[in-house]
Amino acid sequence: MGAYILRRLGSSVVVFFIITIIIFTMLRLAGDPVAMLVPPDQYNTGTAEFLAQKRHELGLDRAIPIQYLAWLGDVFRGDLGNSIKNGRPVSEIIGERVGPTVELIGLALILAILIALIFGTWAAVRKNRTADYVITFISMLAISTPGFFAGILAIYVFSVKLGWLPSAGMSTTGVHSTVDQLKHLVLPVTVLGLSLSAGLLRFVRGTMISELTADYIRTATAKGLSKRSTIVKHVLRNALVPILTYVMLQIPLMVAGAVLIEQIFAWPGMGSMIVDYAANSDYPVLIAVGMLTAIVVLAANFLADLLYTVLDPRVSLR
Amino acid sequence: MTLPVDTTLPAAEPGPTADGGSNALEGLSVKRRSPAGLAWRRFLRNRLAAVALVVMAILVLGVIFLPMFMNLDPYTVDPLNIRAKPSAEHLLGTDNVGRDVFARLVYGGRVSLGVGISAAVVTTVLGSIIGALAGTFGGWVDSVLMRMADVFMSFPSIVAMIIVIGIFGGNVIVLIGLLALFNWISTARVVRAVILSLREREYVQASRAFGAKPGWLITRHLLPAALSQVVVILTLEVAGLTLSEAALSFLGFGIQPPTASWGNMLQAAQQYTVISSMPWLWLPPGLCIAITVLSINFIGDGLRDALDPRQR
Repeated sequence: MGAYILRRLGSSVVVFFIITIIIFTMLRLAGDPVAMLVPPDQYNTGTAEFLAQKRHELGLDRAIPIQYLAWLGDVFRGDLGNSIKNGRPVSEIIGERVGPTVELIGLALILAILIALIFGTWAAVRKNRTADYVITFISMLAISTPGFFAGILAIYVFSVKLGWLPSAGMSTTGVHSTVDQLKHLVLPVTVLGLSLSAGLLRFVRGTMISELTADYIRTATAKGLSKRSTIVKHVLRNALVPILTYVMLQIPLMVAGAVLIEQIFAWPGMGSMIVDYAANSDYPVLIAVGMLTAIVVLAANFLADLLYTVLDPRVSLR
Repeated sequence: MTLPVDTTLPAAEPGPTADGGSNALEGLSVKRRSPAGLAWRRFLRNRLAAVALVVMAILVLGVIFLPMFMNLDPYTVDPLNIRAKPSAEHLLGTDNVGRDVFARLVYGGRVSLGVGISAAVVTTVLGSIIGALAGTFGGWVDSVLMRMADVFMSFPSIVAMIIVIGIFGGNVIVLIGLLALFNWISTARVVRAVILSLREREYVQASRAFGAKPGWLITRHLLPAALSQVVVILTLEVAGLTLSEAALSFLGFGIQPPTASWGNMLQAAQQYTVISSMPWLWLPPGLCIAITVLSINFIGDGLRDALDPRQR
């Protein structure tokens, strides 16, 4: 067990370093950061010394591998550098954006899991009957509707036509009330949650169907257990392991969905941040976001593997 | 109390019977059908997939041929009719600078579908090559390629593409290349799995014993076995990549105006006033994306069932 975890951890770390090297090399190949920093007229007329001075200030006159190592060392000390655009520390910029994104993804995920468990189980139990067909069709509809189009539709219906809910931001400026903040949460969380739930629902349905045909279900039925308690006590419990693993592996998808939803609903999280800073080619911020995303995803994959091995005694550890 | 019994076993296939079938059937002609013909029949029996195929055909034909029959110009600015409502002159109204929305929808469809399909082809070819190499050679080649797959898998492709395009800038070729670069993994995994399961089969070993080189084994024996699954993945990739292109263009990192694509037409809807009072600007492209992706997903599901009857 311990050896397995260590080996799995080792491979995650290797993948992480490969990612950092790829991102760093790519961004350094992209262009001269000095050219982005200095106004064009100064850049074109500026003396060689002035530019060399700027280059030195940014540490750009050192060899690429040294720049990489120096930067990596800074990262481990918690210093992610400064934004080229506005000179603020990257850690500060990211710090104020993490909270809203975690809140959005976390709540959407809870909603998605609830929907998927309830309707996925229902569809599995009623396999090939009307309820199953309706649920499967709606989930396919949800998978195929781009999250951002669903967001625009939701704004049109619930903000414009009905006027029930606000369409942008986390709160109304000048208003400090929990109700107001909750109202701002409803649309983004629901749209993201619904779009995440569709794939998960199909997975739950598939898992439940294969569990429902297992021998232990026949035993449970034979000893007279009611259908409801068979499903709740036996099937759901067994299906939970693959479902949890699947959720962990969907993290990249959730992050991607959050980028679009944040943009639509002007949600001040990391998604709308990355769009802003990418438009300005602000590489210190982009590298940091890339690293952070990679860490989160790798950690989730690692946890998924652990969950699978720890919770399911049938999985052998090699 | 009923046990969940699968009552959906496919009915016995009427049609091809062994040579010289029973005498009772004399007079009835025995139709021979190729495996592809049988798959086609199974596909058509799935009504959703058949309808989806028709819808897709109409969309594709419309996007290709409409400009030949109608006078559509997606670039001409009509300064007197900016943000005009749908009318006889402009079927779907005009956009922020007075261009005809219907014309942009048709030409944007060419771009969106073109990018989706070509990116899917590049993705599947790349994935098949990598999967075939990993599966056939095994050993360190396999380890390196699969670690690479882990690296690309562990990253949300949209975020990665925003970073790359935000810095390098992009054009259609870069966009297709990036879409392929971040999406080849599932094809590679499937092809590799199929090849691993076949590599030690007798007919492959026999071929190897005759001195067949890896290239021959891959192209003659191993890849053809994976073909039906690759076709299904290719179809589903068209849906997924059309969606990715739309998302990127919507965020401003994909197809750049003035060239129209369904995704960048939706950009207009980042303004509240456009959402509230000009639905003709965002509803048509949004619906086109949703209908395309939905249809292709149904076609892909239908193909999977038709090509692999064991999975039913």
